[in-house]
Amino acid sequence: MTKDFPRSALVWLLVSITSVMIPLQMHIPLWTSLVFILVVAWRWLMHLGRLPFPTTMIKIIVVTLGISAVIISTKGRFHLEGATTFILVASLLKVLEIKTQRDGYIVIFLSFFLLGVSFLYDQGILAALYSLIVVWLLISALVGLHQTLHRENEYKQLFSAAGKTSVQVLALSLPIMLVLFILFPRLGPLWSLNLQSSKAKTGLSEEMSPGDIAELSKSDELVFRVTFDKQPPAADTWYWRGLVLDRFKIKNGRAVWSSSGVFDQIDWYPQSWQPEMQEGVYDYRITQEASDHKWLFGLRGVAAMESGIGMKENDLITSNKKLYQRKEYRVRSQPTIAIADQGLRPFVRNQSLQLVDSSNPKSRLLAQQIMLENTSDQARVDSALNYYQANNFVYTLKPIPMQENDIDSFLFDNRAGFCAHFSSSFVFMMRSMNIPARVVSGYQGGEINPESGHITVRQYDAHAWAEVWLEGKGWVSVDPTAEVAPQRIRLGLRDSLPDGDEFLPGNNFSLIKLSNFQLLNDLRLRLDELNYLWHQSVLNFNKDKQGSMLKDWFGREALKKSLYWLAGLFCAFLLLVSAILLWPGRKKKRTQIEKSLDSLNNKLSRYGLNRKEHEGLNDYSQRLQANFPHEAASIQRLFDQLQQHYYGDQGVGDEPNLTKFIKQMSKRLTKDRSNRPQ
Amino acid sequence: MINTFQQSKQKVEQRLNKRWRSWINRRIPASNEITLSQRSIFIVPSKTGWLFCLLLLLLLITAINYQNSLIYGLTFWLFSVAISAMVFTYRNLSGLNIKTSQPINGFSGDSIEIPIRICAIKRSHQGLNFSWSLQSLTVSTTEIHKNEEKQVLIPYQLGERGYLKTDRLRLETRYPFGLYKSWTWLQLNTPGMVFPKPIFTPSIATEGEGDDQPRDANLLIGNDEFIGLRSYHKGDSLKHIAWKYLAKGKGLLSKEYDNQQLSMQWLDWFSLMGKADEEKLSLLTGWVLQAEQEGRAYGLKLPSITIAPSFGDTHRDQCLMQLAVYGKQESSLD
Repeated sequence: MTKDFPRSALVWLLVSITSVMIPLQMHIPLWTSLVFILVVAWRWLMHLGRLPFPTTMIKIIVVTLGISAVIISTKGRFHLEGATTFILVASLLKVLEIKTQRDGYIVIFLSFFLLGVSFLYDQGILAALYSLIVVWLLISALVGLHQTLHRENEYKQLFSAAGKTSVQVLALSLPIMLVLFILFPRLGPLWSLNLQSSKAKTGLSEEMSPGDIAELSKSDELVFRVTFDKQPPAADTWYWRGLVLDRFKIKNGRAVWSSSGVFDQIDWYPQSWQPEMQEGVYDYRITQEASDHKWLFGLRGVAAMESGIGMKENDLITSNKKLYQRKEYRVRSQPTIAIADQGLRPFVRNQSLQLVDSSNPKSRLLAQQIMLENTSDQARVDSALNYYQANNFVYTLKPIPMQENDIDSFLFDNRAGFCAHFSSSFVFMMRSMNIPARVVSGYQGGEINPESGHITVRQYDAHAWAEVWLEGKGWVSVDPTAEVAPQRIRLGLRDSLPDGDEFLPGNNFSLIKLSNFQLLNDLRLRLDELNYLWHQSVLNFNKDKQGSMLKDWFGREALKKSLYWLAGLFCAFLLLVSAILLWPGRKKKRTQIEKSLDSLNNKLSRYGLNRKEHEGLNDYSQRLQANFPHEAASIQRLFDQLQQHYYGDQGVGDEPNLTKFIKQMSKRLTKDRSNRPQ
Repeated sequence: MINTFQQSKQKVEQRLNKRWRSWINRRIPASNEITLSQRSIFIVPSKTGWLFCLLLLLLLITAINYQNSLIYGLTFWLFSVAISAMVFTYRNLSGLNIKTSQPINGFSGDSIEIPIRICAIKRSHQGLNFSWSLQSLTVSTTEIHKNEEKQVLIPYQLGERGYLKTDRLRLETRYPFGLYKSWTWLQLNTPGMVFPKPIFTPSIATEGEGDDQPRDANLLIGNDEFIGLRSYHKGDSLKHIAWKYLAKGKGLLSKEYDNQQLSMQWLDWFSLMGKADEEKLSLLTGWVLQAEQEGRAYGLKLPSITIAPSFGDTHRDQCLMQLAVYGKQESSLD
C-alpha cells in the first residue's frame, strides 16, 4: 500500500530539514547550501505544479553529480565532514523525489541521524536547546505524513494538530528519557573510531617558532576548565604545562623548537610517581576539550591520578589515547618540588644544550658576554632576564616579521615580540652559556568564575616560557615575558596589551570583548557558569560518572539494582503515559430528567420492562402501555412530553415538571405492578 | 516426497487457519455494534517502526563510540517517543463505536458500497482505513471528530446469492506516527440480500420456449376488460391510474382490470429444463427485472414456492428474495 504524500506534510518536511541543515552548514563544504537551495526551490515548484517530477534519467544525472561533488570536495579521504556531507546530500536528493509516504519516512529518519551527527560538532547548551525545536519539527513532520488534507482551507488546522500531537508525545516521553539517560548502562567505545573531524583544531602545536602563539591569541575557544578541590594557588602561578620543547632547529632561517623524544618513556598510573597529600600539594580536576592530541595539562610537579594517564620524566602527563572527545581527569600537583635536582643524565643534558652552531651569531656573542660577566649560573640567568628590561623590550601581538637569524633581529633590532620570541631567545642564550634550558609551552592564567570557582582557560591564554637547570635546584621555571610585561602574567592577555594592539582582532562577536561593561560581564560569567554546569552534569556523564553515582545510590551490586530500577521506573512511566492518554474525558453532566428516567428504568427492569437498546421511544411507550393497560393514557402523555422535550423546538424549560411527572409515574407503575398477583 | 511435504504443509496451514478463525470468532464475535477496546484492538510495529528501530540502533552505536551524551539523549528520547507512540496509535482506535447501517441489497457480482456508521464518543479519530479482509479493493480512508457520528461507504463486491454475509471488515490505522499499525477485524452483520446475477435475454418468451413446453405456459394474455375502480395501492402501475378522476379531484384511484388482464406472464422454473440451477435462477432474475421494466404483471413459479402474478416494487423484491434464498437452508421468510 503506497500512500501518497500529503501536501501539508511537505511544508513540515522542508522546514525541518532546513532546521537540521543550518547548524551543520558551519562544518561542511559551502556548496551543499547551494544544493540545498536548489533542491528546496525545485521541490516547491513541483509542489506548485510548475515543474514535473524528475524522470529516472534526471535522477541518475543528479545523483551522479551529487556523489562526484562529495568525492571531489572531500578529496577522496574519509573523515567525519565527508561522511556528514554524504548523508546530507543523500537526504537532500531524496527530498527532490519525495512522492510517497515512504519517501517521507526516509527523509525524516535521515534528518534525525543528521541531528545526532551535528552533536559531534557542537554539544553546547545552545545547540541542545536548538535541537529541541528540530526534534519537534521532525516529529510534527512525521505526524503530518499521516494526515489527510480534504479541503485547501484545512492547512492551518492540520498544522496545529500535528504540532500539538508532537508536543504531547515529546513531553510525555521526557520522564522515560531521563530514566534511560541516568540508568541505562553506559559502555566504553565499542571499536576505535577512525572517522574523525578533518579540521585541525586550534591549539598548541608540537612545533613552535616565534610568532606561532600570536595566532592562538586571536581565538577565545575553550581549552580546558579546572576545578580545584580546595583553595587554588595564587593566580600568577597558574602555568599549565603542556609541552616541553627541547630540540632546536633552523627552518628557513628561523628558530623552531620541538620535542626531542628523549622523554618518551612513560610511567603509567598507578606505577607512576605520586606526591603525598600535604600543604602545598593541590588536587584538581581538569575537563579538557577535544584536541586530537594525547597531551594533558597540569601545574608543575604534576602526577597522574587515574588509569589511562601516564607520566613522563619531563614533568608532563599524557593520555593513552588521542583526545577526540572531551576528557575529564584528576590531577595532583606539587609546584614547589625540585625536579631532577640530583643531576641530569648525559643524554638529557646534551639535548638541553643542543644548538645549531651557525645561527644567530650576535645573540651568541651577547650570551658569551653575560657568561663572562657573571660567576654563577643563577646570576647569569638574572642578568639575561635583566637584558630584556634594560633594553625596553615591548610585548606585542603584532611583531614585525623577522627573517634570517630571527633571534638576533629580535634581541638587537626589533625588540618587540610575543612570549614565543622571549622564551625562544632566552633559551637560546642560556644554551649558548652552556646552561641546560628548554622551552615549555602551555597556557598561563585563566579566568576564575566567582560563582562556581572554576577556572576557564581559553586559547588566548596560550603561553611559552622557559625552564633552566641549575645545579642543586634542578629545573627552574623562568618567564622572560614576565620581565617585560608583568601584567600579562598577573592580569592575562586582555588587560596587558599596549594601546595599538587589539584584543581578539576580527572576532567581533566574542562576548569576552564586552567584559568592560559590568552588566554584560556578569551575564557572560553567568553563561559561563551555566555552560560549566551543563558540561559537568550532562555532557560529562559517562561510564565512570554513572558508575560512581550508582554506587552512591545503590551501594553493593549497583548495576543489578539499577537495572531493576530502570525496568521498574520505565514501566511506571509507561503506565502513566497510558493513563494520561487514555483517561476518559469528563462525562457530560446528566440532567435531572435523565437521572429520573434512569431510576424509572431500574425499577422496571425488575419486571423485564426496561428500555432495550435501540428501542425507540415510541416502541417503548407501546410496550409499556400494553403492560400497564390502566395507566396507558398517562404513559402516552409522558412519552409525548418526552418526545417534545427531546425533539421539539421548545419545552426544555419544563424540566422540573417533567422530572416530577417521571417520578410520579415511576411510583404509580411500580405500585400497579406490585399489586398485581405474580 | 515433495508432494507429500506440500500436502502436509497445506494441511497444517488449513488447520492453523481454522484455529485462527475460531479464535477470532470467539475474541471478536459477530455483532451489529461494537465499541473498540483492548479486546478487539491488535497492535504491532509497522515496517516503518522497524526502520525507526534501525535508526535508534545506529544512533546508539554512534553515541557509544563517540561517547557523546547528547546523542545518547536524542536516542533515548526518540526511543521513549516510539514507546509512547504505541499508546497514541492504540488510542486512535480505542473508544470508536462502529455499527451497521441500513440494509443493502444487490445482485451477485455487483460492486456496491456497504454503509456503516461510526461514532466518536471519547475523542477524535484520524486516518482510519477500512478494507475487507478477503477483498483487495480500494481502501477507504476517513476520520471523525469527537462527538460526531457519520456514515462510511466501503466498496464491496457482492458474492454468492443469499443473505448478505460480508467478510471481516479490517479497520487499520497508523496515525499519528506510522511506527505501529493498529487494527481490528470486525464481523458486522449488515442486513441485506444478494440476488442472483441476472442474465438478460432478448425475449422472455423465446427463452422460455422449449419444444416440449406448452406455448401458453409462459404467456397468458387476458382479455383486457375493465371492471371498475379501486383506491390506489402502492406499487400499482402508473398506466392504471384513473387520471380523469384525479383531475376531477376525486383522489388517486386505480383502474381494475379483470384478472389483471394486461399482458400477464408466468416465470416458470420448470420451463427451464436442462439448465443448471444457478443458471435457471439467473435467467429468472433477468426475466423478473425485464418484466418489471416493461410494466407487465408476472408470477414466479419455483419448486418451493409460487408467487401469484402481480407487479410493482414490492412484488419484484419478493420475487427476487425468493430467487436469492432458493435452496438456501436459512430460507425462513415470514
